[in-house]
Amino acid sequence: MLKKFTLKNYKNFKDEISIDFENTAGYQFSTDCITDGIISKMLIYGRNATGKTNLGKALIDIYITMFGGRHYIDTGIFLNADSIDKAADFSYEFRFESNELVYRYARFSNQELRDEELIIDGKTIFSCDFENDKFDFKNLEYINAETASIDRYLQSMDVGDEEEIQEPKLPFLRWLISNVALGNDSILIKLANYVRRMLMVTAGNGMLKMPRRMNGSFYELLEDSNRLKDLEDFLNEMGIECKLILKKLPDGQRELYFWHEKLVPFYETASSGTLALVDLYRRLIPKSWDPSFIYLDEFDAFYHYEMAEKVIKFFKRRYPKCQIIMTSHNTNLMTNRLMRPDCLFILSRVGTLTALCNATERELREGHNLEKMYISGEFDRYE
Amino acid sequence: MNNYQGEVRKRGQNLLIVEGYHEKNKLFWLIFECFPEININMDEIWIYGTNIYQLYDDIVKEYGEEWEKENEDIDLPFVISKKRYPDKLRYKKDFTNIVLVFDYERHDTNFSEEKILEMQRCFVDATDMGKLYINYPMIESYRHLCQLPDDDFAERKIPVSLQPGKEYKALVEQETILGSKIDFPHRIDDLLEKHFEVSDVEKRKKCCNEILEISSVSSMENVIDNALQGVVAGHTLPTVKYQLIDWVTKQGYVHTNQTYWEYMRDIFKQVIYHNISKANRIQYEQYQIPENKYKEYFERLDLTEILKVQNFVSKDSAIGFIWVLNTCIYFIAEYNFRLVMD
Repeated sequence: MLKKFTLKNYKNFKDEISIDFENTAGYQFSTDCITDGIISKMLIYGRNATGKTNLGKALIDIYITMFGGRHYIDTGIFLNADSIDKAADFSYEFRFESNELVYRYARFSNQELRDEELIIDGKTIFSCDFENDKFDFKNLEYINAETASIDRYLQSMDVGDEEEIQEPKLPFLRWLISNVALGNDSILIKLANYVRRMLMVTAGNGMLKMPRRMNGSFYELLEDSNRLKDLEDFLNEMGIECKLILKKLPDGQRELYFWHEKLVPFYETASSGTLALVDLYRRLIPKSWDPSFIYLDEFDAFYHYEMAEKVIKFFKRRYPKCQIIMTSHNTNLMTNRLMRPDCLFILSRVGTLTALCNATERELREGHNLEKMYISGEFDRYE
Repeated sequence: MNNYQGEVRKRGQNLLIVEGYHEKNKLFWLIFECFPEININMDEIWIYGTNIYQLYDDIVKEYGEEWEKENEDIDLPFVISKKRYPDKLRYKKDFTNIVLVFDYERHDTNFSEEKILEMQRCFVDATDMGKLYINYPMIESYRHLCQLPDDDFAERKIPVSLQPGKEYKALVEQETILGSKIDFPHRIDDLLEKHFEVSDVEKRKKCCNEILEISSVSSMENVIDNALQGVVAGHTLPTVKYQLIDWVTKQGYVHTNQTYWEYMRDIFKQVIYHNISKANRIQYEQYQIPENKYKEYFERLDLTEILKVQNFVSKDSAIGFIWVLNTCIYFIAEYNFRLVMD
C-alpha cells in the first residue's frame, strides 16, 4: 500500500506537500477508514482552486512514469509558475508486506524525467541522473535483477541530438520491469501490480454526455442482462429509481433507454446526477480487477447528500482494502458517523494539507459536529 | 466601482453567556491568558448578560414550549441577537465556542428544577449549540480552596440557608488561598491607576504584563524598574518599585522560575483536579482518583446527573445543602485534557 506521497514544485504546489497515510490518531470509530494501519478512505475539502484536482493528477503521475500511456497526459502547465526550479519532485513510499519501497523521481515536464531513484529497505537499488548522464546500478542483485543488460538500456538512452524526433528518455524502472524476468514474489512485480491498478476518476466535468460510439464497449457489457440488471440495482440502491433497457437499433448500434410506456433515450435525458453515477459505475464496477488506489475528484458534485453517503458506504463495502481519496465540497460528509478526524483533510490556499485532528488544538471527539465546526471557522488557520 | 463585494462574513467568534459580568469576565480572561493554546482572543468574545430563566423564556419564545423534547437545534446567537440587536442578527454557524455560565441560585424566585435540568441536558457541546456550566452555589466556588492540596474540599458544602449570594462570596474571601493570586494582575493595575494616577490604560497594561512575565529573581528589580520608566512620575518611581518588588516576591512565582501565567496555569490545573474529584464524589461517591486516571474519570462525569444530586440534597430549605463545585473551569479540560496534564 502507499504509505506516503510527497510532491514539490508541481502546478500550484510550489512548496513541498505530502500525504502521510500512516499518520492516524487512534480513533475507535469509523475504523473501516483504516486498513492495516494505513488510511484507506480519505476525504479532502478545500476552497475552489486550491489544487484538489492537481493533487490527484500528481498522485497518478507514477502510473505514467511506470507505464506511459497517453490517455493520462495532461497538456497544461506542469511546473509551478512562481518557482525557479526546473523540475518537479515526486516521491512515493510503499509498504509491501514487510518491505519498504521508495520510488523517487524528478520531472522537467510530463514527458521528460530529470532523475529517478529506487530504494528498497533503505538500500539504493539504482539511481539515474539523466541530466548529467550519471547512472548507478550497483544493487540490482538485491532485487534479483542483476541479469539486466544495462548496456542495452544505456544504448537506448544514447540517441544523439541530430535525431529529428527526440524520444523521451525511458525511465529505468519501466525498462527494468518489462525487460527482466522477475519472480512472482518480486517486490517490483508487487509495485507494478499496485501502480497498474491506480485510477483517477473525475466526475465533475465534461465527459458525462459521451457520444454514443464511445459507449460502445460499455453497451456491449450491458448486452448481458445480468450486467444490465446489476447497473439498474446499483442506481436504485443509490437512490435513483429507474428501469433500464438496452435496444439494438436497425443500424446495428445499441442504445440505452429508460423503460416507460414510450422508451426514453438514456444519455439524452438522464439527469446530471444519474449520468455521473453511471459514469462511476462504468469506470469501476465492471472491471475484472479491483483497483488498488482511486482518486475520486469531486465525486459527488451532482449527488443528493444521501446519495453521496451511500456511495461512500458502498465503496467501503466493495473496496475495503483499496486506498480511496475523495474530494468534495459536500460538508454533510464531514461527520464521524462516516469518516474520522484523521481521515478528513483540508487543502489550504497555500498548498498545505492538514487532517482535521491536526487543524485545531481542541481534542476532537466522536460526538463533535465536525461540519458545524468547519463552517464556523474552527480550522480556519489551515484553510 | 463594482459591487462584487457583499457582506463580509466573520467566523471564529465566541459567545460567553453569563449572568453578571465581572467575576466571569475576570475568570475567563485569566483562563485564556494562561492557556494560549485555546486560541481565543478576549476581544473576540461576545459577552451577553442574562439569567438562565430569562434565557429559557427567550428560547421558548423562538422554539416553543416543547423545544427540549423535540430536540430543537437551538441557535443561541440568533435568539440573543434577535432580542438585543434585531438589525444585526448573528448565527451559531459563525461561532466556534458558545459557553453558558450560570450560578445554581436555588433561592432565585424563578428557580425551577425542571427548567434548569432541561437546559443542562440540552446544552452539552461548546462547539455546537453551546455548553452550559452551572456552578454550585455560584461562580466564586473556583476560589474555594483553603490550601493546596485541600482534602477537605471533598466534603465542602454550604447550607441552603446561606443566602443571598454575597454571604457566600464573603465566606469564600475569608477562606480562599487563591484569591490574592487570581486578583494579582488587577491589584497591580489598581495600584498604578488609583495610587499613582496612571490614567493611560495601554501604559498600565503594558507595564503590568512586563511584571507578570518576570521569571527570575535576579532580573526582577531591573525589569520592574524598566517597566515603570515613563509610566509613573519620576519621584514616585522608587516607592512603586519597592512596593511591586515586595508584592511579586510574596506571590512566589519568580521563585519557581515561572512567569505569573505559567504559575497560574499550574494553579488552575490543581483547581480542575480538585473539582473533578469533587464531581466524582457527588456523582459516584468517591473523591480519591488514582493519579493517572483523571482523564478517564473526567469523561465519565455527567453534569445532568450532578445537577440531579444537587437538586435532591438542596430540596429542604431548612436542612438542605449544596455541594461546593465549580464546573466552568472544566472548559479547559474539555477543550483538550492534555492542557491540564503535566
